[in-house]
Amino acid sequence: MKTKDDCRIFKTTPETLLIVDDNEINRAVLESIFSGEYLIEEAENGKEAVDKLTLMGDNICAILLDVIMPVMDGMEVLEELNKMGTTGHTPVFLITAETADSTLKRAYSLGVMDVITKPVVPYIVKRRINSVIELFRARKQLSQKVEEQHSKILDQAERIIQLNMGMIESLSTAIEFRSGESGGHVRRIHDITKYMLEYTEFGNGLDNETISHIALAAIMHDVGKIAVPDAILNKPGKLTAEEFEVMKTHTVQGAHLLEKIPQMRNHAAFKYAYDIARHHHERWDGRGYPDGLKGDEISIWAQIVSIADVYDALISKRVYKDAFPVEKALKMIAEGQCGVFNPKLLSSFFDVEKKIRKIYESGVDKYDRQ
Amino acid sequence: MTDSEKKELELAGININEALERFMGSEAIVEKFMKKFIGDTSFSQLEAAVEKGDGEEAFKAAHTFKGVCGNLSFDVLYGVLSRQVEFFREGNFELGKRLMPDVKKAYNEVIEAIEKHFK
Repeated sequence: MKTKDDCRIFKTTPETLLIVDDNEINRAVLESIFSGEYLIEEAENGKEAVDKLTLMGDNICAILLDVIMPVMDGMEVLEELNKMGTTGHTPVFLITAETADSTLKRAYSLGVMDVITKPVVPYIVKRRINSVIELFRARKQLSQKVEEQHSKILDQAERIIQLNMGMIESLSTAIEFRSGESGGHVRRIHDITKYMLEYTEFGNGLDNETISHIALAAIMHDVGKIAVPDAILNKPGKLTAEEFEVMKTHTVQGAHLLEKIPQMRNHAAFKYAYDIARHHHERWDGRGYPDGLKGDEISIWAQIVSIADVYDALISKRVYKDAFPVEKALKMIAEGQCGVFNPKLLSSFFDVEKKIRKIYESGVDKYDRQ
Repeated sequence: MTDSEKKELELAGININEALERFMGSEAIVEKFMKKFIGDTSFSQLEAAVEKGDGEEAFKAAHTFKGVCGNLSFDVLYGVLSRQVEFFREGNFELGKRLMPDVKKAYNEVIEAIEKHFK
């Protein structure tokens, strides 16, 4: 059954035959053979042929080329067509009284499909030329089809990635929601992490795919909070030492949780997600938790999420505090009131902080951040 | 076209059956091309090139002329021209030139026969 697609391909199929020969009778002979099946375009010499081809390009389905012609001969035309890339997608036939081996060899090496000797025998010429044209048509249709399918697959892959990300964001947001946060927090941590990796030296050596995996992983930094009781998670006042110990377990619990989901374990972002969930509360001076890692023992991504998390917490309203003005928040970070960070990371962060603030000025996030 | 007419054309070096086959059996088309040949300048170009003594030009002209004659199934003329083209190709201009009377004779016979039969 013909589908709409087939019709479209059929419509764009080129169907003009370009006949190039300096002798009118020779052109007319070929024309009389093919005029029933194709539209015919004629050229008296090589130059005219190249001009017509430049003009009509895609409408030409095959070129029948004489060798010995004035102005620009068949071989020169071939060389030109070769340069233009025409021989790759339009079959060229040499129609010639020429039988010298060297000429034929050179013609084939220049991309001629077939050599047909004069005097032409209609039955044979027709057969040979039609089958090649058919072949080129089929090939073109096939590659169009493959291209369509390829872009369809890319679309689907893109949708799957989006869906994947949507699911991960939903899970993370649902967990954050328990502590009265909106989806804005995880989205912003994602954006800040991505920005830092793309625009500071901390992303050196990471390709775009890796960066997007790390940014996705950053979204899941706090999933372990699902294991922290409401009473502690939403306590408005200061936590007791015991409560804080429970609160701290969200790092290990988060890594644990991610590890338990098989699809997550196999995801390219897993190793980053695991590391970030477990280590985003480590400190540069080794006094963080849960593992007490120090300095470069803490991965770049865990360090970045850590500073992004602190920054976002400070300038957002939380159940236990109001939002601080940005200037004050930066001062607090710089003075080490909210943890000890890698000095290089701090200076990189301050360098791009104005750009990062733009993330907060976009409509959605402003609305999110009450 | 009667068989005796065909015979006469064949005697003038025109393979009329082959020509008819080339033009899908259409006498009208054959007639059109035969008449067109009367005005074709290939022969005079060849003559001029040989006259000038220009070997390269003579080769090209003979080559083109040979192609036309082949397509119209002028077997005798085509045969002479094929030999001539090879001489010119090899650079034997004189040997090629020596074939000119044969070419001219065959050409005149073809022209006469065409003029007689396709009035």
